[in-house]
Amino acid sequence: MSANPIEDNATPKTTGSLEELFRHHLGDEAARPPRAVLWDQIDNSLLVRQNETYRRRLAATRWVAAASLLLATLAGTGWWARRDAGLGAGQLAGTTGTGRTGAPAIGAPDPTTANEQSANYPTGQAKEVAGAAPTTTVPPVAGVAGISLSRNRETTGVMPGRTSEAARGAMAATSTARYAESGLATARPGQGTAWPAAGRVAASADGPALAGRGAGVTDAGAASRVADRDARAHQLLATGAAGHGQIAQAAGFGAGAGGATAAAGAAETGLAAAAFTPAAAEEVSMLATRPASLALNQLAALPAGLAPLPTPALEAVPALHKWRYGASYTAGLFNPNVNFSRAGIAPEYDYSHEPIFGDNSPALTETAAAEYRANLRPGLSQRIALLATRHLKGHWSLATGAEFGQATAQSSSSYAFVGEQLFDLNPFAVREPHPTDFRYRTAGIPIEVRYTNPVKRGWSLYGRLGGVVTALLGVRGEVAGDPEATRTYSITSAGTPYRRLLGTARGAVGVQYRPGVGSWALTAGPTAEVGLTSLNAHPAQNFLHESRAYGFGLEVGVEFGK
Amino acid sequence: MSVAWFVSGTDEALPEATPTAPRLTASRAAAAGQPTEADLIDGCLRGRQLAQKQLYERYAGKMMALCLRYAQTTFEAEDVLQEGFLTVFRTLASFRRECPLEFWIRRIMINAALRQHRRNASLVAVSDGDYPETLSSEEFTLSNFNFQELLEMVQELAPRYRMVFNLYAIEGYNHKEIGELLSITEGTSKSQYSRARVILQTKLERRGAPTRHVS
Repeated sequence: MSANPIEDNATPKTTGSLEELFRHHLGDEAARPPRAVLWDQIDNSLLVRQNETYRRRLAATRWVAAASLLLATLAGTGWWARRDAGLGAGQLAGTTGTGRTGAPAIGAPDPTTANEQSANYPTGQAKEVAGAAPTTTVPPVAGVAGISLSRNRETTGVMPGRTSEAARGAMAATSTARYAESGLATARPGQGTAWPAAGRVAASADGPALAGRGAGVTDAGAASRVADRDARAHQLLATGAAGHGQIAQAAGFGAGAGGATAAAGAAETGLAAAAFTPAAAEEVSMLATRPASLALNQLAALPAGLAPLPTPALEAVPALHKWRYGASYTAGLFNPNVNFSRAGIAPEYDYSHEPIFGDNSPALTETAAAEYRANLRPGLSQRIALLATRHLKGHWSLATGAEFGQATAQSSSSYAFVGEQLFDLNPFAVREPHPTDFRYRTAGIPIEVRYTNPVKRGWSLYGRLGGVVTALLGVRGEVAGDPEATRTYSITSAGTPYRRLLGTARGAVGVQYRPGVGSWALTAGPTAEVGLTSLNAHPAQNFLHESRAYGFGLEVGVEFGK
Repeated sequence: MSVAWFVSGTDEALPEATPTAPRLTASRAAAAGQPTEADLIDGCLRGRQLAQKQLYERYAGKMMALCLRYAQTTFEAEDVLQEGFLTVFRTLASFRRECPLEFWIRRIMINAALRQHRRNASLVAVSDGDYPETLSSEEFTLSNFNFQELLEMVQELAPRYRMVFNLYAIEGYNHKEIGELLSITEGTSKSQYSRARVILQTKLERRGAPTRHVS
């Protein structure tokens, strides 16, 4: 039995022309089974193509995942830094204000005390009253204060730069000790049993050394000045000044002297006890019945291991740096929006009418260009930028640097069109759609004006507007299934249909996070850009009607300096 | 029995396929337990391997015969067939179902063959041989020849003659269309077809085929 079903026909023997003979045997109904292995090859090719598709999707997914991870990492780091800074301050403030006195923490003043203090002291200092004065009555704190006292005898003279402050503080401490011993602070009924103990603690302290400690460990200029003033104007509760000052300094307030100030205010007005909450009063009362605990405040009984830690100098408010440096990553969509039509174009850029292109080449290319444009789809764009920002004035700054990007786009045409004039070779062959992937690689110099708060800690908004001069380093148009039609243009290619230099306007808004500590900031937000020039070298349209590339995406960045 | 077995993703046993069967209507195919053309297309569009294989088996025989006519060797024909089917599966989404699928696949195969011809045109140099300029018209008894004999005759033609002869005598294109397809003039197409016809007719006569002159 023949493999060809035509030859199995039982048709009568007929005659025909040569064409009929061949059409009869080789025509539409003729069949010849291919080798079985051919399907395996086709199946394998399909699998390879499918894998390639998956690989491309995977690559895109990886980029998106990397961008998301970067964003999440930056956001997480910012949150952590903020939380860490806030937690440290909160813990110290809580220890000072709540744990010992029950009074509000730093920044949350006791209204009564604050009102009393407001006449003579800045609000921030008055806030410390409640936290400072009672500190002396609590055994652990008193113990720490006592340690500070004992150590201060050694440290006062060791810090020459602060000697004057320490000396002034010593005066305050000496006076405060006397006041405390005389029971001046026992203004509140029911707390009387506590205050004598506190007075004993204060009295037992070495006044000058104590005050020196209070001033010595807090080297903030403003705080020291306040301590100085207060020490001379009022008599301070020395231990409160020392203990609270040490703690408050760690909380970033430099409030050792602030504590002294507050204590002085309280001593002077007799309102220190009024700042006590019931809980604190109860705590003090309980302690007053335990002289053994209070006895720990005796200098001789203090364990040597409780030596005060050296405290770093408070950071002065830095001046704004002129230059800040940063990097950013942007992922988004890019549409080249190219119109390769040459209808109405200047003669020098019109289609070539050389015979080699064929008579129908211009019409063919126009059709292909229209089909290409109709099927043009945006693709993924990615960009990294390294920027230097110069602060101008106020919230304004100017940024420039370098950036490198890659963008993709997809289209398809029946003519495997990639931008060049087509040869009129085989109209039949180009009736199939040819999916085409385009890839654009660029390098550019952005210049943009920024509006942002360069010093604000925490979250703030920013806005940017500027332009980019971009060099189109390379364009690749890869025609699926037709390697011959694939084109790659570099910036030096002679026949490239694309511009070599592009202009782009770009704007962005977003949020900036600057942590409480450190001199860096994170930025994130949407960005959009539109070309000032068309992507193709010779657009037929006038400038106002050119089809320009555009894109938008999400940008994340980090900036160093303040 | 429903024939949408692969559309829904179930990879069950393949129904028996008849490679040389004429194109089935949906009702006939369903009655025969075979997937319809639409089922095949939908299955392929969903990436079902089973549907792809079914489509291949349905049309591979005919398309192989077509490719053999345009190619010079079996290996070359298989290359064309493979490229053609890959194009079919890749561009099936663009098939508008306005014509039979077989016709659409045939066009793709012809296109693939022409691409192969262009790639090899500069590599293959075949002498025309010694043949007369013209011959009188003759009639042939169709049953005196078989597929293989005629195929060999066509394959022995020079590529340019083979292309023109296939497109004109078997596919039914006119010389103007052939000129556009092959980027030659209409006159050239006519000339080459005439030359191919003389060569084939001479070969048929040399094989001793009984012919009779037509007045």
